[in-house]
Amino acid sequence: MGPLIPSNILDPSWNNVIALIVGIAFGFILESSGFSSSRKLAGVFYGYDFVVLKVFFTAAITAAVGLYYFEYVGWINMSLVYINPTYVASTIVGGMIMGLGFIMGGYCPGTSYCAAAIGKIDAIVFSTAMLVGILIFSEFYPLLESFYNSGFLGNVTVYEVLGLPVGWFMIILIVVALGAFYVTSLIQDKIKEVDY
Amino acid sequence: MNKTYVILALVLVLLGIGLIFLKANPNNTEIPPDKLLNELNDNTHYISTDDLAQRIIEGDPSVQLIDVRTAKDAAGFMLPGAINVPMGDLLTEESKAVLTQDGKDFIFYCNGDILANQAWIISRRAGLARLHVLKGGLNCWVETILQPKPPAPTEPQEAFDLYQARLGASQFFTGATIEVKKSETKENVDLTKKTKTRKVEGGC
Repeated sequence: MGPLIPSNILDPSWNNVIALIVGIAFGFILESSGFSSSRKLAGVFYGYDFVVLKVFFTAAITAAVGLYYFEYVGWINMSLVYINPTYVASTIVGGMIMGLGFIMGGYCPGTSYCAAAIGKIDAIVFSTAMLVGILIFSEFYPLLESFYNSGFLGNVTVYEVLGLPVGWFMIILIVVALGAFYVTSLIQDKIKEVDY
Repeated sequence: MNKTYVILALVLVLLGIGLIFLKANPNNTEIPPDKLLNELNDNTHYISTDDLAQRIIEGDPSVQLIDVRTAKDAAGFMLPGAINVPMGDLLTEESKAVLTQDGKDFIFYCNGDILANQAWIISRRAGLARLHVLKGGLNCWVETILQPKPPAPTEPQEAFDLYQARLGASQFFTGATIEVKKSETKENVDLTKKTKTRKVEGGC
């Protein structure tokens, strides 16, 4: 039956309503799990707090496993699910810029608004600076356009590129995730407790 | 290490292993309505009686004719090599076995277009591929292949060539002896040069 909007079960005008509800829920859970603290977020780079890695990796594998079981029982049609197009070169450079900003500011875009919403001054500065960055990027877009669109691979998934069946890719991803959780917990134990 | 984490990790691994054994997309082979409409509208699923006749005569092994009329009608007359799959039996296991053979183009036909088109839509929605419909059905087959009518004298050369091809096909399918004429060639034109009777005079 799903996805609800591409399968014409819900009208496309519901898009923004659903986005608002999901966004509020996402922000609430981010805040309540402590993601509005820049020190907690930056901990993943300094090795004293890996909760970011654990939360997002767990979310990814749980959602992926759930989606493929949903597909098996016919609740969702994965061929209708939108897959973001991949631009290899710009993704790598963009990821490095984003990572640099993440270390310096202690926020990623979503958590910065989350923290700004509860009145953290550093988050307000961060999200304002992000808007300035977006403005600069937009103004220089004609210069960056060719690079922005380089390395286009289409709407591909990792297992398609690797030529693996979905099931095998998922089990590899789960094992990698669990291994990462274990290793990071070892690192966290070794590092002296940081008060934040 | 926390016991809950170990249990949750094991559950995830088990679920992941389960995914390996799931068949991909068992329930989602159905074609979306807009795509079906596009395929119906672009008319590429039709095959003309002339094309079909030519493919049968050439012995094309990929042709698989499917007669969707009732068994009683089909018992009276079927095209060579056709398999009778009445509309009611279209989704049975036996029909599926017929319609999923590798490397075949399945061509539905009935007396006209309607039943064959319905069979095409149903089979397409059931996720089958390489399906075609014989345009005009058996009525058109009889008119064009078995009993072709000669074109009017004023029609273009193509009409005469087509008629000759159909006569040949008719002979192939009915065993009738009809004299097949080659298309008329133009009369030879005399190309000998005429000798000039006047001397060349000055020009400009």
